[in-house]
Amino acid sequence: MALEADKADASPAFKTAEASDSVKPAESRFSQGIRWLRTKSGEGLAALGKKYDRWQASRAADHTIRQNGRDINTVHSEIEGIDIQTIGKPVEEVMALRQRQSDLMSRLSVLTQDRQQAAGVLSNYYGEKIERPMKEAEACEAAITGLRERRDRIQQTLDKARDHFNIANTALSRLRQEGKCTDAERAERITRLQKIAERIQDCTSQLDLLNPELSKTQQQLSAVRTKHRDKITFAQSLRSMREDGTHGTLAAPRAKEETTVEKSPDAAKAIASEAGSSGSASETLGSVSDADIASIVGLYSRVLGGLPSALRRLLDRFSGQKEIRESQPTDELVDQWNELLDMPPKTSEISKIDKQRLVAMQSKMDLFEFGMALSLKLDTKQEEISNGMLKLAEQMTAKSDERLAA
Amino acid sequence: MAYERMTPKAIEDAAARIKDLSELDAFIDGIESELEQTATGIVDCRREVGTLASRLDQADADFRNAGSEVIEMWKDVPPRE
Repeated sequence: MALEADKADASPAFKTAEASDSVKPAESRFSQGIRWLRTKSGEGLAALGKKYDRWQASRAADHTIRQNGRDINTVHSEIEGIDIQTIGKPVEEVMALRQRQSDLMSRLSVLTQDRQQAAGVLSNYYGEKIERPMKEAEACEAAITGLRERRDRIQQTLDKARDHFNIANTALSRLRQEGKCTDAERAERITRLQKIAERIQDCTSQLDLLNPELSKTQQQLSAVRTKHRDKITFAQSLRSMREDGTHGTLAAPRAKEETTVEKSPDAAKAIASEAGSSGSASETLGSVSDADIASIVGLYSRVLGGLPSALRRLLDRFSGQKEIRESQPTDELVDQWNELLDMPPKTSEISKIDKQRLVAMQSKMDLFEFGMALSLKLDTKQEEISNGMLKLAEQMTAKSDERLAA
Repeated sequence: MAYERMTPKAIEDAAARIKDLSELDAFIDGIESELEQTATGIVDCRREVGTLASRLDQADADFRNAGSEVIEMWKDVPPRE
């Protein structure tokens, strides 16, 4: 998770304590946090909205592909049937049937185009991402084939070298017998031939090592393809449909092949339904209502998980920050926050003791950090955020109580 | 086309065509040169096989990542019905 200074500094809500000492720290910091949260929640909703839009688009495309796959088959059958129907029919009927056939062909063309477009949507989303390693696997396969061919050629070269060695050896014996070389000259050639024999042996050994290495690589390739067979099939289907509108219905890889899905179905539904109920990303971005924020806060407060180290780092990072000043707190969010902190809800006024608690609390953690953590981790590991928030909130409440008691 | 090993007769005949030491030296030079290239070729092949293993590891990782993105998209959504 990124914890860049830029994210915090980019918030227009940041002001230093020196800039507005007259404003009450508790209110201003809280309000700043709220404004920040509102902005960041909007971005978070945007992320959820995008995901939802993306899902809807791909589901629609998936539906189109499945549905018009059936339609295409039906139209195809009808077109083929017309050819038979025309046999022996009067001209008028044949003309009518041909017209019908022509209409069906047009319909088929439209269906095919729709199918190609739908495949394009899906392909843009993830088909190309799968195609990249797919092409790499294909390239590796071609390379393995090429290496096998090279290995065969090398083997033949070695066989040829063995024959040539025997020719040279035979020639040397003959030249010696014919008195065309001295013993010293013969010994010199024998030494060279011995080196050649050693070289042939060495090459043979190296080649023997290459064989299992090639087999192992081939097995590795097969294993990769087997492991990702569903994705490959998926991408191949997309490719076919995108190119010519053919191929059967689509079998998108589903969550069953991944073990990283941590969210319960109910939680997932809740996120999606809340994102969906508040409209798409483009509609909500920049105009997030309190209800939107409340829905997110409520959502996170309902989900439990582990303590996030990221939140701890955030606390460390901002603990030395100058005070942030702003007036006009937003009561609904204060309520949400108080609820999270197990404090009495306050809608119209905050009691003195609560103000004191808030002042004490903000030195370590307040809505600012909460909102930041919420935003940074909005669409991943929500359980960790909410649970960590709750735990930290408890800790901070306990600390503020201690301070107040002191 | 596969290379067929020479028969003893063919070897004898080929050896008979080498008339003197200078021809033999040239013939041996040819064998040495060819073996040099062969050895280099084998090393190249083995290196390329190693590279392929790395590329396949990367392809495996890319498949996983691509899959994660797909799964990411499907996991947070309610069923269509």
